[in-house]
Amino acid sequence: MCATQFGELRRNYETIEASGLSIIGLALEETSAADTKKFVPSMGGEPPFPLVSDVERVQTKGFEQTTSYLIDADGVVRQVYPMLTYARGSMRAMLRDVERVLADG
Amino acid sequence: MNSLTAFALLLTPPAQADVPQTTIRMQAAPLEVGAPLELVVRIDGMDPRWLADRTAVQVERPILQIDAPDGVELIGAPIAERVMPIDFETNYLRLPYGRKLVAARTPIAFELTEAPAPDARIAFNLVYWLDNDDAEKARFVRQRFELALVPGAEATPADASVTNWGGHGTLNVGDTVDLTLPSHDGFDIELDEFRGGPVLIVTYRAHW
Repeated sequence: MCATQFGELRRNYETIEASGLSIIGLALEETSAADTKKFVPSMGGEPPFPLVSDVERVQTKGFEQTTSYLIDADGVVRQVYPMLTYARGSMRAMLRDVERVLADG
Repeated sequence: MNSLTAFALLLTPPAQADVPQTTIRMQAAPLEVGAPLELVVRIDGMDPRWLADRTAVQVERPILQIDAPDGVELIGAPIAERVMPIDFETNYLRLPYGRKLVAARTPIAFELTEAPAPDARIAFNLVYWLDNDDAEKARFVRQRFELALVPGAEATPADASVTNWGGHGTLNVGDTVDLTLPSHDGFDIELDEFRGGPVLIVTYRAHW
């Protein structure tokens, strides 16, 4: 994970966790699970959430790079965010969407 | 609350007055196969901070995704072929092409490799964050445009709530996701395991 993304998620993780939201980091294309393990130290150490890989894009054809997908409890995509962790205020905006998803039940 | 109502809540557009007004216009006339052509994206009311720094990765600038039909070749290099720092003025982010807008009036160069069908369209997704400095107001806007391949054609978003995000085949709001993938520490992770609540899937490249 890009260090910027990872740092922002780590900084906000307590708030994210308290909101009821889980995170999965998804490596696409050239980043295998083994590659990810190699890069974890440079990203500040083990993340508090799982990192998965789909190098062959078998299950993740529709996913785009450096994009975040808010999935509800039924597995339905509720919002798609480009470069979520880079824009100021974007985490707060995303967490408001989480509140709405949770309120919808 | 049913699911349709839920989506409507998530996708309520911001007030039109708050959103920069965007038009995309076909400048080229005539549209000759093999000739250098140009269309222009104009944004009125653009946040001046979007233009503040041309050297760093300014992800707070709006991103223009361009979904070109067969027979339309955008002129510019895919960003994946470059290393940082990235020059967003001349490089597309990826296929189907994405581009950072660097001025209120941004030209997009292209070439026709074949005569377009009468109903051919270039589709654009304009995405940006608004009110980044105010955590309570910050929000994400997506607008969809479709431009006819005819001289003088102009496209404006009919509805700021239109939210198709990517090109054909990309994951969109309302789609269902089901994944079982290996984690970096050797376990299989199933999305089903998280079904008690919402999940944020964040895609990334480890080598950035």
